Amino acid sequence: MAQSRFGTLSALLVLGVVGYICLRPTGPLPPLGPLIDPANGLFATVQSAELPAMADGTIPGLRAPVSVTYDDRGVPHIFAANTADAYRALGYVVARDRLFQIEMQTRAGAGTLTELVGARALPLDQTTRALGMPRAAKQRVATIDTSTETWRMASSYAAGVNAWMRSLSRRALPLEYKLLGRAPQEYGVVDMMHLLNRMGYTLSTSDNELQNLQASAAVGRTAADALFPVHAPIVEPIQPNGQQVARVAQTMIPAPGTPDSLAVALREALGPHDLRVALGLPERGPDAVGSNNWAVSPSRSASGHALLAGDPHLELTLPSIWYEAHLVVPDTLDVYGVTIPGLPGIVIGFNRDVAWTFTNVGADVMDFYLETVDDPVNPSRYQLDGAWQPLERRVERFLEPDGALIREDTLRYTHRGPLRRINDRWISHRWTVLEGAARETEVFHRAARSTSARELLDQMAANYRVPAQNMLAADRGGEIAIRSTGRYPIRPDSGRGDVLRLGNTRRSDWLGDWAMADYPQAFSPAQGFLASANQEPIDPLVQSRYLGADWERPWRAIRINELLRGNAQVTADDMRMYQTDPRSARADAFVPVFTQVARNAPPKPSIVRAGQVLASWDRRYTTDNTVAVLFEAVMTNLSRMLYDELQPDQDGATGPRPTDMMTAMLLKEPTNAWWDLRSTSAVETRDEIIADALELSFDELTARLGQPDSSSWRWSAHRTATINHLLRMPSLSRTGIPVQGGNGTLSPSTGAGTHGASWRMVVELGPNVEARAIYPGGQSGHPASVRYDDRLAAWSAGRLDALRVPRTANELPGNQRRAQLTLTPPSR
Amino acid sequence: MMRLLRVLGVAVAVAIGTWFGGWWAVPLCGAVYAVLRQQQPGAVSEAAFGAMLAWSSLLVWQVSHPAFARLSAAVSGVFPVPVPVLMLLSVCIAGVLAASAARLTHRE
Repeated sequence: MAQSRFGTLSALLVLGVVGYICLRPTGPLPPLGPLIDPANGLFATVQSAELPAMADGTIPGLRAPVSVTYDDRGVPHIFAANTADAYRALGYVVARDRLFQIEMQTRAGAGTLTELVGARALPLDQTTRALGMPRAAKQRVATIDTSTETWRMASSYAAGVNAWMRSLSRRALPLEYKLLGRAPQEYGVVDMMHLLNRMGYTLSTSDNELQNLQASAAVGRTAADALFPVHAPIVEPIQPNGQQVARVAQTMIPAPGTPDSLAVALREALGPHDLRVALGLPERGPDAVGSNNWAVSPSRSASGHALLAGDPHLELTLPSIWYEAHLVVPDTLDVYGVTIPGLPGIVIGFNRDVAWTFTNVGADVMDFYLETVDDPVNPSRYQLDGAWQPLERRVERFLEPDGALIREDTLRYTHRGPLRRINDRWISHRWTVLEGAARETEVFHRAARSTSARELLDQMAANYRVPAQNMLAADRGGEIAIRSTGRYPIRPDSGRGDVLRLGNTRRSDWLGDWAMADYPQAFSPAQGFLASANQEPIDPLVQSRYLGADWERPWRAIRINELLRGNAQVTADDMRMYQTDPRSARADAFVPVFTQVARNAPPKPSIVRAGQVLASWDRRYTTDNTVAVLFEAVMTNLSRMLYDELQPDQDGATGPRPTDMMTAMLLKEPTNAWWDLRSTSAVETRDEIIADALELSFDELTARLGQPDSSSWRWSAHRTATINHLLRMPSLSRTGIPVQGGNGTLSPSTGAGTHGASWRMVVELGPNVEARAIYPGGQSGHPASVRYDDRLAAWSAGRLDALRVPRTANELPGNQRRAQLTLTPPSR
Repeated sequence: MMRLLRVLGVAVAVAIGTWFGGWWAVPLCGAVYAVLRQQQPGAVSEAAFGAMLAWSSLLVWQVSHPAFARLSAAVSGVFPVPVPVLMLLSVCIAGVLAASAARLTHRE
């Protein structure tokens, strides 16, 4: 009896323990039961790795059947009878391949990642909410008239996403949901606003005023303004200025001066923060979002047709930020390109008449204000024009996936926007992203129906506000056009947005927005081509109005203009090769000076050898070159020595660092006081500092890598692309991908290699549109699918895939078809 | 022979239950089987072996899929144990769940 009771108790204990770990999360693991269930859990995911050859689905609200044919690249061609059905089907097919991505990215914009992945995402969510993005999204949705095209499109798309989601059995849930032990949430129109805000966060943040403040606190305002100029001193603008080479606006850079007392006081009040990090703004390495686009008129193309190329550079992820699709509605819509999962519309692409692509403008659309509040710890009012105004308070609740409360934050808003406490000061910000229009979900549909480049750009300018983009278009009629489109605020007094303004007066407020006529733009210029690479869009000699101050360095713009000027018979394949052109205009600016200094410097072996190595270089960042690694080391050491005056004295603090464009300007001033090291009593000049940088870099590299020309100096040993999965799980990520390019080349690669060309496209607008494109990754978000990463090798090698663009389902040859999906309304 | 058939019967029940219900069908089937086999020796072990056979079969079906190697590579870094060990662990857990539940309801 006792034995039996012991056995029963033991069984109860074992069942209790095993049952508990099957039912409840254990550490980082989700409940084990559903995960290891071989019929519905982790391993059952394999059954949905590939799309079935034939499938059916239903979407509520569909007015007619929709045929979806997947081609041999996994691209869905959607043939619908009306536009709303086409967007329903688009939502359905995107969710079919990318459901988890839609939710993950939406939650990132909504500040609710903790509800998906737990408390580890709390800092990200806090930042998102503190920046005011979720509140703005909800306000924007509330303004949409539900009888408009915007609402119809958005709600149709959401219906498609939800129809797929509801059709999923447990066993077919995406792998990530199973690993997290979660289920997908309903998708709504507000989620599209969250996504748009997230794009704005990535592309429209700026901390110019804070960089400038830090620099002013170190070396005075005059020197700070010179090192962080509003206008780029090397001018190769987007709107052609009639020059045949980049114009250099050489002005003497003032010596480091006396710290600006107001800036010092503010810097001390704000603390030794990297303010970009303190404010939760995305980090920006060189070329982090270094996109390119260019177009060639028929007069300069070998085929006599307009050509367009675009390669937006963003953080590379698996699955990719882009999803390729083709939508056809007879006599209404025939558009091909890439969409962002979760947004209704083709963002970048082409129809039968016109092709378009974007680069980021980088305009300053985020301003900071130093506020005076009634209580330094728990303010309820802020001062404005001599009176106290109430702060809007909003309690933000952060929840665990099971609904448990993680934390509550009280956020405050002035009439300009969110208020943040940094050290002892309260800073508010106004940001166009928070004031975007809901029409942005509709603009891509309007673009898709355009019949000319001009019509497309006008549609965009009328409806699109954030994030500001250099929108390039080319059409079958031979026109090429570009316009830097977005909302640009007009500021008071100096008009500058890169200064920290006092918040206690309405005189600091924005006065209005730029008129479209003032946007930088060009239509079929005489030079026969247009190009943008995030550089300052307009020559300040043509228009000097403040648009921003965070312009991308000019190297890519110089290089692409050089290539396009030098080729009067451009082919589509030339365009493809330009996208990964390894030649560096940045190296062209520096290497001749470095080698000359090495020749004239005291004959130290390391300096002489470094000079010889650099002189032997063709200045191309090919994967097999063995010199780029030395050049990059010299540039790093040079910058550190040159700008030592900007480095704060506090340990661990980071100072502002001017770009290498300013270093290039200083090369022309060999005795400028900036070349002097503050740590020595001697007065150094340019040549001494460069010689020191050469020697130091060469010695460091030989100690670490051996002699030059060895395999360890090969560029591919130092520079590869890293494409992380959205959850940063290593086995779902791809690392060590060889890339051709480096800092400042047309296919730039810097830092951890996590950013790069997220989509490369070349379109030739002849009688029949011909297009080639690639993105790093694959159409499927399913890690077990061959289409998860099937395009990586071609992308890495700089190849493009020929795109299939059938007018009807029957036009796609049988050998190019892979799967068929038929969508119908639910039977009554 | 009869014992083998009983194990197979449990396996079929567990497989169907898991397919339509989920993992909790394993202890449920174990418990029910033990009730049905009251006073009969070996019911607990038959429930355990049946559950293990059911889950092994389902896993073999998943492993036979052409995409399984890719899935295995994808999840290999997510867990602290290799995928084959995880699968073995799954089968063992099924056995333990079925046996413990059967032991609770079985009277010899």
